[in-house]
Amino acid sequence: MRMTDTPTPALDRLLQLLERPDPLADVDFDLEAAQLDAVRERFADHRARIVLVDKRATDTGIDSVESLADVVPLLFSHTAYKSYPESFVTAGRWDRLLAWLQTLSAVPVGHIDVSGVTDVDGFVERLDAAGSHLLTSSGTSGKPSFLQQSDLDVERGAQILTALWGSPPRIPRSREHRVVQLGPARGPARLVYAHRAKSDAWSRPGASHAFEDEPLRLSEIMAVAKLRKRVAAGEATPGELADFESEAAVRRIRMDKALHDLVDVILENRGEPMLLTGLWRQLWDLVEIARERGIPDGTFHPDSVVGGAGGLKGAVLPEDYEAQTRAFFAPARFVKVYGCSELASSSPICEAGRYHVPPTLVLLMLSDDGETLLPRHAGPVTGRVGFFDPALDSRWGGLVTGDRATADFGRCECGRPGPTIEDSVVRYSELGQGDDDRLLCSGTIDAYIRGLVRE
Amino acid sequence: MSRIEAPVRIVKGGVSASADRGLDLDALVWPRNEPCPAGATPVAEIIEVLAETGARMREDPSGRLAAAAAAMASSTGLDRRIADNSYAGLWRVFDPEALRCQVEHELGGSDVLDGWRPFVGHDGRTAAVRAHPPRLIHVLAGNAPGVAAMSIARGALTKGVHLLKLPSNDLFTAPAILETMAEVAPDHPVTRSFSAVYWRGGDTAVESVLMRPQYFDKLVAWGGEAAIRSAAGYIGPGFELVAFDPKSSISLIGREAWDTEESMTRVASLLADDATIFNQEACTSSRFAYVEGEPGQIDAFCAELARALAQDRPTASAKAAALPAELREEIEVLSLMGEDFGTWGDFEGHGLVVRSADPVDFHPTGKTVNVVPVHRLTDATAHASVATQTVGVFPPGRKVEIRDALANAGAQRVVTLGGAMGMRPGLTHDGFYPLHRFVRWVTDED
Repeated sequence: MRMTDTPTPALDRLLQLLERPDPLADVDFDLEAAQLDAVRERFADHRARIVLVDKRATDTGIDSVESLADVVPLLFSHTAYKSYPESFVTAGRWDRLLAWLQTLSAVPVGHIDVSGVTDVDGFVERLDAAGSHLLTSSGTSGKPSFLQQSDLDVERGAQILTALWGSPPRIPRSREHRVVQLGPARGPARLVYAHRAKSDAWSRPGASHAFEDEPLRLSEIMAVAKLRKRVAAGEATPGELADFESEAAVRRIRMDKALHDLVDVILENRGEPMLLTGLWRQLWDLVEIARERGIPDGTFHPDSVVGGAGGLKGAVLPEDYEAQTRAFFAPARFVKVYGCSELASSSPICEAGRYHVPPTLVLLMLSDDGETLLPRHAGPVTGRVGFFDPALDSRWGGLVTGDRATADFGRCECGRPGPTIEDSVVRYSELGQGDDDRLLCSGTIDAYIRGLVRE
Repeated sequence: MSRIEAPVRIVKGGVSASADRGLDLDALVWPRNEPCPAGATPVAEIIEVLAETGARMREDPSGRLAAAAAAMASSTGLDRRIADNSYAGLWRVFDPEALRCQVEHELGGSDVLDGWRPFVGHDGRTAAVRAHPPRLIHVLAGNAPGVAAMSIARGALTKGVHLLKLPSNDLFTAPAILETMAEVAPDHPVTRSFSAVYWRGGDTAVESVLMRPQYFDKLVAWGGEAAIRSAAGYIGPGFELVAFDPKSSISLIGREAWDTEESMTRVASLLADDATIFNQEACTSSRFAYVEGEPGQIDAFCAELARALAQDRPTASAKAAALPAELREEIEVLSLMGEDFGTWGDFEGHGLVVRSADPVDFHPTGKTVNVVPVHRLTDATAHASVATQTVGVFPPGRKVEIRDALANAGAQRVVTLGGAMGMRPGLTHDGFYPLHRFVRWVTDED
């Protein structure tokens, strides 16, 4: 069911580019002008449908988007999506959580019946059944963000992903692969939807695998938040803390088992084309298991593609783990993308090692404070990364990230047009170590809570 | 990233302006085989030196303090007026009466610093006790110049040797005070007891060398979780941590506030005093106000509080820095949620009041106060924790009813609303008597 019938001709024009042999290169019209049209179209549409967009527009006096600079004051940061009071979840005030979600959603959610919901997973399921397929992501604090996703968003997300994942060169949508994800098969996460889209586009019947028995359970993640709150309030008992530690250990064992089961499938079928995604530390575990079984490097199918993601938290890996992993999977190709969970489109890396922002995504290079649009010309420009994603139907596509990067709006060495982003993106939070000793005497209870982060 | 350098380095009371060269680590320790320079100086004489230093700071004939105030204003973004105000009162830390009061109440008198205090036990056996001069490294916080002044006053009174590690956000105050001291008492043992230098916090090349019991007895660390965590690695037998922990503060307001229109206005102004100390960067700045009353009364109070936050105060600007974008966004969303939340004020730095049924998840900064209605003040004591420093209460008569529960929850200081600023000499700071913790207690038992 499509939640909206708003016509989006400017966006449709951009989406059509995705169906070309090389969506990153085959543009035969003025992309910048077409993107501005799509932003303008989306702003008019979303201002009428998203309360927070309307408020921001009113507060900043932006009534129309004449140039991309006008959209800068309207960008959200990731905090918007986790701005709900945590007590709504910990105290089970689902109607209030729904009211919060409504302020950020372009589709109505207020009517959804949340009576009888007992935990956050139940809340997510109830919304899913009603056509709101929430995406979540969580930081180390354990407070997840909630991102609205309509049926149309899911459909479009799949179209965009299967046009860009593995590009360049593009992987034709033909069901000749085995598709494996070292992660959950179900749950409100972007990677779950990605796996589904990849499987639908590329997997042979019966050749799609993920952790079938380990859905992503938000309540497990939120248990950390709940416990943090109890520790902060001085209410948690030592027994509770000990139970938490042992439950975490049990969870790790379960995940290890799920990984080992999939490793068998991968190694047995390594002679056929496979699309594999997982965290680097999972891929490294796989390499070690394979070596124990005497499997040499370089025995994978040449049409295989491997996507490695971050997640080295707490893992002790050899310094050259990445090179060793690549050698093991050779001659399979490795993909690398730059993206954020808040957006539908990610930017794949090219042969020359630069991320190409796809035509369905508008790159906004901003001053470090995120307030001013930087010039959009050929040559390096460094600042805070912002995006506008006009493809998003049920939530706002304007985002200012916490990343600092160097971009170039000119043509890339690989021959394709820009904009491109250099492979040297850093988080602002990791910069400025010189400020470590800008000492204040003020602080929060967070400094008094030890060791309660999600593994 | 450009290298941070203190404009002036003080090494054992002498000015060493050679900023180009690295730190001379050898010059930063006082060998243990020599007594501390001021070890034999009577407390009365030390107080004289401090009093003269304070008097000269007050007059500031060399313009040293004024220059430090200007530098502080430009490096912290505080208004020049606030920097000037906070420096103008700095001499009071060296008021001889205040210093005597500290020695009297924290240690029971100067005799135990100047010599061995006789002791007779329950069984009649005699002994003597001495507050021996300590060797301390102070890792200073830089959000208020009082931190440097108090550290120097306390350090001098305990007669030990003191290496002050300057914070990047206040490279000026401690050197300016020590230079002033060197002017009034050149080469005096107290003057020679202090060094003030900068190194990047966490720099192991410096810290792993200096933070050893062979050179220092204790590390006195102010605020900043990261700073305490990095330094804590060096704590071990013979090298102890004295921590002025990172803290935050709250206010509790009883229904008596609404007795008259005037009292409501006055309470709003008192709360604004407490909430805006150094534009809410201090640990004493209130961030959450738990308030008794009817919804209408509380909302009227929130509106009045927003007006009060938007006024100049001695250490606050009518318009401070605009709220960080992420905080603004979080509050923007809450403001759209109808009755559950109320917001007054603006995001531009004039101050903001957020009323919510439960305390908000974010840490209110930039002159933001979260007003939380409570049925009774005793209910609010549950919101104090081990991170709570000061609790301002109105009316003062109700402190008695809640102070035990607040202390039980972890709070350290209960004051009458409006009195959060300034630690009173002779009382505790962050739950302990600083002079008492600074010294090394030694006994001679018969």
